[in-house]
Amino acid sequence: MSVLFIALPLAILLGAAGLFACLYCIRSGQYDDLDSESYRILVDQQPGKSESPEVQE
Amino acid sequence: MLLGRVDAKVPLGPTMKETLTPASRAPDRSEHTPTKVLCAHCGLETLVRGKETWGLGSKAIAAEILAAERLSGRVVQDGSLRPGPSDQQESASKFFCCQGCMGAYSLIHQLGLENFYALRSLSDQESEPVPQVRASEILKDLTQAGVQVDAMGDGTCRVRLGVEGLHCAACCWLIESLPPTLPGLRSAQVRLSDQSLELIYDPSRTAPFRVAEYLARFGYALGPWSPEGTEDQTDGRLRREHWFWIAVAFFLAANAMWIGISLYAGESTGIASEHERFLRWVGALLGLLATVFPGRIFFRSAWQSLRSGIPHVDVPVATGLLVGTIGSLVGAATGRGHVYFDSLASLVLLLRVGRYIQFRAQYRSGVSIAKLLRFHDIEAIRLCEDGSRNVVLAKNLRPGERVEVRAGVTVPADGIVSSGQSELQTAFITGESRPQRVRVGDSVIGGSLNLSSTIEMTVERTVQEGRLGQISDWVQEATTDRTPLIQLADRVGRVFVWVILGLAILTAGFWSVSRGWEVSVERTVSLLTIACPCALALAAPLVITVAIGRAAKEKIWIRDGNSLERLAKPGLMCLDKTGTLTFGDLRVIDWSGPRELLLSISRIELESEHPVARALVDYGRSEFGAEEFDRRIDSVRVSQVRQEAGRGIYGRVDGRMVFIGRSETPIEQSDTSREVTVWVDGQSQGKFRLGDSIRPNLVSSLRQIRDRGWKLAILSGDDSPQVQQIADALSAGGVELVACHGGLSPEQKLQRLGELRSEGATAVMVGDGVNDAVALAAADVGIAVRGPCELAMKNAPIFIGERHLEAIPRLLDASRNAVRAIHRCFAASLLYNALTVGLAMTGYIHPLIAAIFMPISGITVLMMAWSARTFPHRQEKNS
Repeated sequence: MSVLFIALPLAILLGAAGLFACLYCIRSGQYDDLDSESYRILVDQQPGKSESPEVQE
Repeated sequence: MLLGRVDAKVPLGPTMKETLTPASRAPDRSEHTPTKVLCAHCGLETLVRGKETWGLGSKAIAAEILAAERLSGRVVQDGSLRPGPSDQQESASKFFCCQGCMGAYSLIHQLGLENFYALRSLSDQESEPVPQVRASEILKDLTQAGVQVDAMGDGTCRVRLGVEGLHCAACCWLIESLPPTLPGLRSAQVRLSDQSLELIYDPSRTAPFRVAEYLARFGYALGPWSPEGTEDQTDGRLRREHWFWIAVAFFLAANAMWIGISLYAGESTGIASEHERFLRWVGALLGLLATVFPGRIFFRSAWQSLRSGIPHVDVPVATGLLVGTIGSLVGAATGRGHVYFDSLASLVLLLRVGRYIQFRAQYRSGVSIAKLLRFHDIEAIRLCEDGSRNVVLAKNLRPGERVEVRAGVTVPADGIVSSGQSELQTAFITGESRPQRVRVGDSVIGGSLNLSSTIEMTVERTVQEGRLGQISDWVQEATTDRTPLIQLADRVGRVFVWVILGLAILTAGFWSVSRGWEVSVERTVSLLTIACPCALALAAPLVITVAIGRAAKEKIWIRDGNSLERLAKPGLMCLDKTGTLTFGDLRVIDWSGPRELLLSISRIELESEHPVARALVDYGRSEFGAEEFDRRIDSVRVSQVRQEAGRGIYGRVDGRMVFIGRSETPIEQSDTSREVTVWVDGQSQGKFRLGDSIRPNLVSSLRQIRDRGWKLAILSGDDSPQVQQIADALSAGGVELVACHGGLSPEQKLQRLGELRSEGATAVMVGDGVNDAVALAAADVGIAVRGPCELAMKNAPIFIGERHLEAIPRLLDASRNAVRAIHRCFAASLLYNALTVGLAMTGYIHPLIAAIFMPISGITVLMMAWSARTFPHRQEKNS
């Protein structure tokens, strides 16, 4: 059972890593718009994303 | 450049009219009977006349399709789009209300984005005409527009711009699908929640202005996005702050709870003492962190409240946290007694969530007011001394500067018209649903909409300092009013805090003497935690704030929260006649004569300033519709116009002499109902009946008010028989009046009001904001339905900007529901507290359960407040 002394702090540290990721997301504004995404999911594909090859003039 | 060329072929906005040369206005137009069709793009009902519609086939369209094909031809490499002559055929049967729609339709179609229409039909939006949008010139100079440009690592730039015209998913999708079709534009990301758009583009190949030009063709207007964005951004920051601490508190609470569970499990199944000690210390650490970091605000506000001597809800909360922390620390250190760190951590979390919900509610009501009056991004075309024009933000205008206001554009500031004439939509501030005509020398209000033609004006005040800004300030202030119910809640809350603290001391003393300190700590913490006056203190302000915010959304401006409370109980409602029950000015009630003659009549009357003339022209305009009227009126040739004071007006049209007026007796001003006859070459051809017409839906609105238990009375200054007519019409409609008086002076109105209200019921006066100022101010609640809003609001706490009397039943419902909701919240809160405090003192409630219950009770009450059906949603445009 003495593994507890290592496992518990480790678990909390892992959780803390998740927490910091979440805090980073909040700070960077990912949660600022919760409206558009719910609509966007209705749309099948988005040809207009930046990964699509750009058209040459 | 391609875009420029197409734009030249498809003029937008007011210039459209000019491209219709007189030749195309051929008289044989009338040979085709018009049929009604729906615009294929915007769904607006539109008239079609033979081949001269905006259908496909006209040259402009051919150019448009050609352009679109070229575009799509280039895009086809992408593989996602297809060109096709079939598209042309398919759309050949489509009709459009304007070139803008047609352009947008063919462009969307040719780009292969037809999904737009399918998606749009999914989202169940009411269709509305696509506005004629022109690219905002202010975007040519980004620094002047105050747009922040972020240089990205790979040489691209990022800007955030405001978008107007977004409705639903389809709009989002359309805009976000565009980048590959515009060289240099990397990505476009729409954010619906604040109607903004993030562009990433290559500055060497394109510019935001080009994107704006492009999007304008689809009917979306880009503009600077609240550059300083005062409220929006601080609110956004605060919201992030809340989330941040909720996340931290959640993490700590969840972990502390697991440790708590381990300890409870260990207690019942046996646990090694070193493990137990370890778990206790880890739990203590987490709990301490929770109270020290996310829980800090409670201590801070409790401390402030103690220093200022005003008891606050947070005092017992902070005391509970403190007692719990100390007790648990002692428990963890000595290994005796209980540890409550899990409860403490979850308590902090739930309190934090409660705070956030409260913030959200306040933020929302604030947003609706700010959104409504978006003045930060209005732009203006400034005319410089040397005759050049430049586009600036409205808030940067200085008094004395001259500004050009085009049709379809918001007036950027308060000022005086210096040239041109037009019609403005000013309902939000005058309560008058009909457009208001302005000419040189008339003052205009920033925020109103210019409907018909370009005017120039001299700026007096910016919108923020001007009348609209003033109103929004008032409404904003009203949301912080301490209404009687709120004051009551405050008082009760204050007493409550002391009572709880006293009870806590009593509990602590009693149990520590009889059962030892561990039991005492446990029960005291239970008591302090479960007692929650916050519901009591929060419910009332929340309900009022939310109601005022929702009212503002419906253009009901409420200047003070008290009146909202007062309207809850039915009483007596006195109504003024002129302008309230009637429109308040002269209009045509009836016309008997040929319709086509109206054009000639209007053309002659345009030469006159007489009120009758205005009424006749308005009638002609409404008969033909503004667009057709404006188009056809110019082709009517008139000469030899001559006015004869008191009799009428002569004019020669198409060689025929027309006389409009009264042959025998002069027209008298005081007469409210009168007749005007039209003679053509000496022959009587038709007759107008004029009068101050009664507002539509009057009887049904008043019946709805009466059905809510209100007594109705008419107090009018007008002594015409119309007062009695209205009373008769009302009683025929089943609405009986308590009193009906005409011909009252303002003093007499006051006196009558005093007599009628003597029964002790609330006396409400509904009237014109200016003419009835005295009565409105004297009544318990004054509701102004007309008149310059800010003047009216000085005398009447409520101003109805739209829908007139029809809005009153909704207002009454909202008020009654608001007060009921507050009462319900009070009752629920008091009952809850009486019950749980008793249980906690006698030791029936464990601190953990207390911690769960306390926020639940608070949130329940807040939800009750939030969901109070004040102004239930009707169809709303923005989600």
